[in-house]
Amino acid sequence: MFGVLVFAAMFLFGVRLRLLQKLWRCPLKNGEEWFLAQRVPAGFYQEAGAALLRRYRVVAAVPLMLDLPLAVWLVVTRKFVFLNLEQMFAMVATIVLYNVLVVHFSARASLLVGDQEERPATSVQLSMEPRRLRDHTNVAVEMAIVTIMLFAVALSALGSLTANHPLVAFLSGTHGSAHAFRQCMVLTVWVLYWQMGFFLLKGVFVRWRMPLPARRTDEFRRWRAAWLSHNLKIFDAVRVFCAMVLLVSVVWFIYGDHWSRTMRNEVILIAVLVLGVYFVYVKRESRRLAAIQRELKPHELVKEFPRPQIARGRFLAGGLLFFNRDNPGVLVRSPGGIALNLAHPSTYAWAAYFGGLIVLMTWIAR
Amino acid sequence: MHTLNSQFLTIDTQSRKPIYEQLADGLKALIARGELREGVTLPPVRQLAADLGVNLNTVAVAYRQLQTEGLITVRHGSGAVVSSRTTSEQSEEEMRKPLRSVLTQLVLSGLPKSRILRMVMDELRFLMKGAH
Repeated sequence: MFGVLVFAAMFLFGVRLRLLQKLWRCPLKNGEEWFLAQRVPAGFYQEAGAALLRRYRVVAAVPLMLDLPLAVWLVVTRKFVFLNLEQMFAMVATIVLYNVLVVHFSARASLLVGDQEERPATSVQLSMEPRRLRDHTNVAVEMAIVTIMLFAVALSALGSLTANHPLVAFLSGTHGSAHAFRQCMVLTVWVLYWQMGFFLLKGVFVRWRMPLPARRTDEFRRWRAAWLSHNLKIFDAVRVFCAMVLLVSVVWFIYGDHWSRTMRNEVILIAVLVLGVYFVYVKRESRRLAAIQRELKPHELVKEFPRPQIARGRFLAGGLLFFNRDNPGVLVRSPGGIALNLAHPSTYAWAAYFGGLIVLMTWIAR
Repeated sequence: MHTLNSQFLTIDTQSRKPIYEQLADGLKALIARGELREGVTLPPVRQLAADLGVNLNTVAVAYRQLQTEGLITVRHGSGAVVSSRTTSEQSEEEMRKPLRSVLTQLVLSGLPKSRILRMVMDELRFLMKGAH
């Protein structure tokens, strides 16, 4: 079991290293005339751009630098469950930070470039189509997830009613089976919480601010549809994967003790195959999106939008936070980049979610 | 000024015409053309305001104007729904007022009558494209 936990933690850490590598190269991905999605003049990286790039990379490395000593300490003290929880939390925090970082540094580059930029567009197109999560929900996938989850819970309940039932053992105080039952319950709650988080995230992506440029509108719509479809498919794939992990783990916890070594190896092989299918799927979807990106060059469409104005309202914490109930944006343009709008309902929803995640992790760890 | 393209409307953020007016006029034109049919749900105020990067009130004012004119119904919980292609009862004299104002501008700009008529007919054809 510890082997699986160590592998999962190492896997998460590896994914984060890969994310950092991608983010590191991101500003110059489209050549030296660009800083992320901002076109910059020649010599930008020899002047103000050099400091901006350095700062960007330092901030990008911060999450790994912060949790590396903690992760090493957890490995040395053999606290593998803690290690996994810490890595999962770090993964979510890193993804959120990296997304904010890209937007923030794009805005800062835009402020640095200032008037050197060619005359910005002034018109924007609005789509009169409401963006609702239900229009982007794949019923078959949702049914599959619910079925797998229910099946896992049913197996867990059934396991508690059989001869060596964990529930009876739990009630009578027999340690081993009670432990298995508790593991099933904890894992079910944990996976349900992650499912909820991904559902929230899907909602964010569907409702993402989407003005359309007045020129090259169809190109932008095509890219945006491909981008959204890609992300929603990946989220659904992760959700199906989480449900599968729950099912396999429940089976393992309840019946694993009675299996022969061969049987265990077969189950591990199936799990590895599922993981392989998942990676092939993600890779295929990423390639599809990359092909569309190469064709449409979305970074070049950015200049077709009017330059965002600095939001009107109260800035706090040196311009990192903002408060205005009438502003519909979660992240708004500030004098120094972007700021988080504390008055937006989504800010509260996500703060509650992350608060709940910390509480849940503390409960699991105990 | 707004132009039309299927279910899209264009907003010029630098125009002297306020955004809420551009929005209301654009929506009216979409309804007149039949691009937004009766019963169609409009995007929530928050969505349009976020897309435009303006305050919620700007969009809310436009929706309120359309509601007053009877073109949309705002239902609590389900948002704004297109209700009818005809505005609420207005006298002919009231409806002539904006027409007269625009025609006055065109005449003052020195355009010949034939050209003004052609422009009016073009716009009317464009607007009536989706009419039953």
